[in-house]
Amino acid sequence: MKVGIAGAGFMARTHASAYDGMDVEVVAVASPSGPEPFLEEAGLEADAYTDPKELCERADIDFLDVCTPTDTHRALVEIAAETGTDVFLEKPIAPTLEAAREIESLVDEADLTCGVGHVVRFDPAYQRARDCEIGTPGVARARRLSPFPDWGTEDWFADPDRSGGLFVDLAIHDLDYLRWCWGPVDRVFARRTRDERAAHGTATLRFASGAIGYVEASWAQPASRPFATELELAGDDGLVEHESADPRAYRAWTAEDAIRDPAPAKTPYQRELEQFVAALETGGEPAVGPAEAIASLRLALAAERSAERGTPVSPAEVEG
Amino acid sequence: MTVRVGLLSAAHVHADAYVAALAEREDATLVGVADPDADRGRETATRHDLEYVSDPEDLLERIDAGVVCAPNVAHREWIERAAEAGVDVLCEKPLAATLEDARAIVETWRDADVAVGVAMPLRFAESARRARRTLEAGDLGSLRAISGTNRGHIPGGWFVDPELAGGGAVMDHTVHLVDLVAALTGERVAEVYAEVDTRFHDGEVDDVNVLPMELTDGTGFLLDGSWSKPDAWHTWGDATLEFVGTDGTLAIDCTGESLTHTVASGEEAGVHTVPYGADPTANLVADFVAAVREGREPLVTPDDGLEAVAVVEAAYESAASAESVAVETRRGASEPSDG
Repeated sequence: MKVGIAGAGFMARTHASAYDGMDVEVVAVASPSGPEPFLEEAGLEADAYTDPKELCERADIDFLDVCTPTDTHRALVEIAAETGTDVFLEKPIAPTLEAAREIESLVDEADLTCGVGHVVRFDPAYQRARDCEIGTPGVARARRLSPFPDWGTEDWFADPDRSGGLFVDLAIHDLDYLRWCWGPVDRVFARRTRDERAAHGTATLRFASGAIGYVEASWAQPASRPFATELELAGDDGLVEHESADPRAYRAWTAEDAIRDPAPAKTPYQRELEQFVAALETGGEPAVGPAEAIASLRLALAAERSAERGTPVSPAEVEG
Repeated sequence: MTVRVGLLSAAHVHADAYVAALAEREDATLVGVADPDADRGRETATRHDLEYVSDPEDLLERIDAGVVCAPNVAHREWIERAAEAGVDVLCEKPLAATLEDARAIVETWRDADVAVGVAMPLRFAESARRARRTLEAGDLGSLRAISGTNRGHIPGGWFVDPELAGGGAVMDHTVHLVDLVAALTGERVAEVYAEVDTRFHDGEVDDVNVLPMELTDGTGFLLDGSWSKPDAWHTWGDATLEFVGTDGTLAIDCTGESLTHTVASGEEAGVHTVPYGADPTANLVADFVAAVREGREPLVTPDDGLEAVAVVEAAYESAASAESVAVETRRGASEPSDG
């Protein structure tokens, strides 16, 4: 398998290191400013492009991996469709429902295989939690706490038109996961506070089943606090709990540094990309295609709308 | 002076803890137990080697202060009787099952020359006291959001009887952290949205609640007060708060100082949690006894209790209407915030 990556930032680096452990060769990388510094830093012997179309026109590329800012996804899928290149998109699928639907149509019409990287579904802890027997679902709690993402080129995370904002970019991880676990959501009530360098919000969910859940997402944590997630699924016959903070599987201290890591054999990113590659090889379906990604985007957009209006919003009523 | 204390109903599970805390004190003495349920009253009295007093008026005449451990709907009547007899009261939370009762209690308290305290032990937790100092010092900058949990087992008995408890988990678990957040921030809850349901047991009362609230300064405050912890969980429940500010985040776990104790055999076999930190209930009782001796109000007054009851009532109203509800107190409806 040969992949071309669009993007040369944090997520491109993450995916490239996942491919390093797989039978997938990164043969080309495209980025508007030229990916040479990225290639050098990542130690990749891949061809550099500034035009993603040229990259996709290469006959030896099996798929395009889109690791660029969310608002550029649609244009890149258009190129993938024109060149008949299968495509993997980082999450979220797009910042708006309109762009997401265009992506879905482009993929359909060109008969491409398209996967969307809802990586939490490939986190082994979250996968096992979903499988734990808890009886009838009662209340779900999912938190995701981070400093403000300052690693985006041109600070694109800070621009809601580009990233979609806190719910669409960050909370969507847990919104998608909870929807995957407990099914469709009837209504969302959200609150959010934000300024230029921070955002913090909560989305309270009422599932169609009657179960209740909430997602708390933060881009407002101090730099000293390591990124942390929490999950609890409570049912009438059991409870499952997980916290990512304070991992104990692998710890090391040196004079200068402290290392506390989970010790998975494979990162969730490698697991999600392996599933996509296997789907390409066998003609199977990606774990998350455009339709699933759009359902989760709707939920995030419903939270966004609820936070603006101060009233509960049904994901079904989110249009455009 | 030694404060003569009576137990006014032994219905609440915390009655034993109050008796134990009072027994430790040299400035208080337990006189007896009154309870309209004679079996329950006698049983509690016997267990603690106290006198069961069948006529409550008789007990009220012999005590300086009473601890009301009655079901929620009976708080008002007990406080009115105590006030009539000039007896100071420490009342289990919530102050009342309805805003109407809470308002009546506040009036009784104001009109009578008695001290009335509401049992909010989290105010006395060391972690909460330290959090108060941090917040007062302005170390977090201005607040962006607050997130709290007060989950627990499903209690039994009258707690799940709507006629006696006045509600379920919302009634039982909302007030602790609503009261604590008000005390720590100096803001009240202005608006409540509530998702509430009965998902964990077959009873009549609610057992799941998630309350995205807003304080008077516009800060969001999300509270999960569900009875979502299985009986087999290692402890009764939790009480946590996290404050996210512009300059930092502060998280407290009011039961964080505890050991894990595994019992290998017998009826108690299993994993247990053993607190080793300062006991908030002992500090709460100490404050109440001192208030009685000094003729001052306890730390948490019926005014505070009323605020929390108003939030409970607004939460139930929101759950019924699926809309945000402004919290009404005796000061009238609060201004909705556009925060």
